[in-house]
Amino acid sequence: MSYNKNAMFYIRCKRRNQTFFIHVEGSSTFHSVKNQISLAVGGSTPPEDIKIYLPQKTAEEDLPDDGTVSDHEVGNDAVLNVVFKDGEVWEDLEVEDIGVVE
Amino acid sequence: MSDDNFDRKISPNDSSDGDSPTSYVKLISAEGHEFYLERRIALAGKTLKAMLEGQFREAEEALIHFPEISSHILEKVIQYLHYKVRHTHSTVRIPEFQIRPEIALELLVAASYLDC
Repeated sequence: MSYNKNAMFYIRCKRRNQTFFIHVEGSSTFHSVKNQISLAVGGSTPPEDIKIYLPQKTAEEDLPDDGTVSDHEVGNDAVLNVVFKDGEVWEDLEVEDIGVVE
Repeated sequence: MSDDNFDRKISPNDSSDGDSPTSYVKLISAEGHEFYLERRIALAGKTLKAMLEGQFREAEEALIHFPEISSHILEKVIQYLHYKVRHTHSTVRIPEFQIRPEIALELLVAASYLDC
């Protein structure tokens, strides 16, 4: 995959006590983000066991695999929330508050 | 080398050619918060580079603990490394990296230790 270095930026995906810094472009799909998260944890959680949410969203409002970063206006340094599937059950959305950084 | 299932070992598949999968490293703060970032970004910090490329356990496991650095500071450092990589070799004016004064001192200590 060739990419324009200037078009890439990163997003912070947060789950519990974890933060994943994932590089994306505007055209990146959330499926590709899930792939990167899965890769970061060494493959122990496959992309189909990952859900991503915009801030303030929960439960059934997870972002679609084929949705893109720019479709949902996710910009540089944006925070998205993540949950994993634990066995058969999706875990509750829970993100550790590490203090205000902005 | 012990094979501890709990540790997330990143396979040493980190050649820099475009076809290999992205390699991630894990940095852990004083409070145990786990930060995952691309290896190439981590290498922009001198101390991190030395730790990840030297003959250390951290290099093999791509995992570094920072018991002296708080989560909010470590996150800021990682944001800075991304900023640095993005704007290195820029020929135009770059945006300012914002730092709130309340964290400046702690951040300075961490940056000094990490040499970045």
